[in-house]
Amino acid sequence: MPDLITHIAGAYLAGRGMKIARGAALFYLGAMLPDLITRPFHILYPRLLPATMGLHAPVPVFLACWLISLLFRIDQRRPVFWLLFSGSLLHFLMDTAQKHLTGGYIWLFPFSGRQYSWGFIWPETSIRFLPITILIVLPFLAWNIWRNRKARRKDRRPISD
Amino acid sequence: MFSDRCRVIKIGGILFLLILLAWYSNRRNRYPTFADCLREPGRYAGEEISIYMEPRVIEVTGGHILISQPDGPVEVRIPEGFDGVFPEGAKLSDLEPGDSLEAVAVFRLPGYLELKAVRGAPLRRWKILLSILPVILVGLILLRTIRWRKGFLVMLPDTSSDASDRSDVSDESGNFKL
Repeated sequence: MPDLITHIAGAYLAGRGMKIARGAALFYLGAMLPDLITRPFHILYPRLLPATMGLHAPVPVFLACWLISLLFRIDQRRPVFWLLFSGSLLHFLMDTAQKHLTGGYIWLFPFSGRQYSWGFIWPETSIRFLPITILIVLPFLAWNIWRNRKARRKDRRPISD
Repeated sequence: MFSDRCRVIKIGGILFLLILLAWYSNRRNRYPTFADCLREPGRYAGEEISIYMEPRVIEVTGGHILISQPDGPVEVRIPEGFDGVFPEGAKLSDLEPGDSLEAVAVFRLPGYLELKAVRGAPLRRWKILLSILPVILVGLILLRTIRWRKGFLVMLPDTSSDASDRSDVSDESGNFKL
């Protein structure tokens, strides 16, 4: 998997492109969710890796997004679910670009045990490219912050008679 | 799917399904370990074995690599003329004690592992540590934009008709700003 900074950077750019405004933080959470429900467990307890391998797949993550959305008020559940799940799908898209010597991603779990990836980059390559990733995202972030401050200053200006 | 009907049962059911999936994954995705090979050497002779549970280099010598695993260190012999180091251009001598790695070996009789392919991943530790930062950042943003109200989580800005306050995290259109 790319590191989570790279995942969030991808989610931020995708979110700006799709003009996700309300609930963007949930989209970013979705972009980390497949790793959040698996990695901490098998990094701390390596014996849990076989159990967590299958959870890093669309079906279990769909269930996790559904579970989280049910904690929200009824009128917000559907948008919360789609924000989380679309962020997760973006995560899977980025993970598919990787190659592995051992392990890999079982995309159709529990229906199939077949592993598939495009095999472009090794998992830690994203760390080497992190400075470039940050340089790409920073201008968008800076422009967005400047635009929001300009809008807030405009709000505070007194209305002249 | 999103209605309040049987909401608690749905939540319990989803949790149960997730636990079931983890259990099934543990049964289905548990690859044989060196210990399994030693228990049934005839069955695993010539089979490829992935050394996969957070393996780390303990020691590299000219003749073997010692790799950490939950069941104990695993010694993997390096065959003569071994050239299965990834990525291309990398060398066995690049592996340092403490580095993460991926390794595939072949189980040979009477009971040893012979290295088939290996990839050092020294940046894995940095990858894990740096990945904590966005978790903290998104966590802080979520704390600012989600509230607990009347037994449910509510995403701000709350555009429902009975919302009593508006968060300053929204712009003039009521959209959340980041």
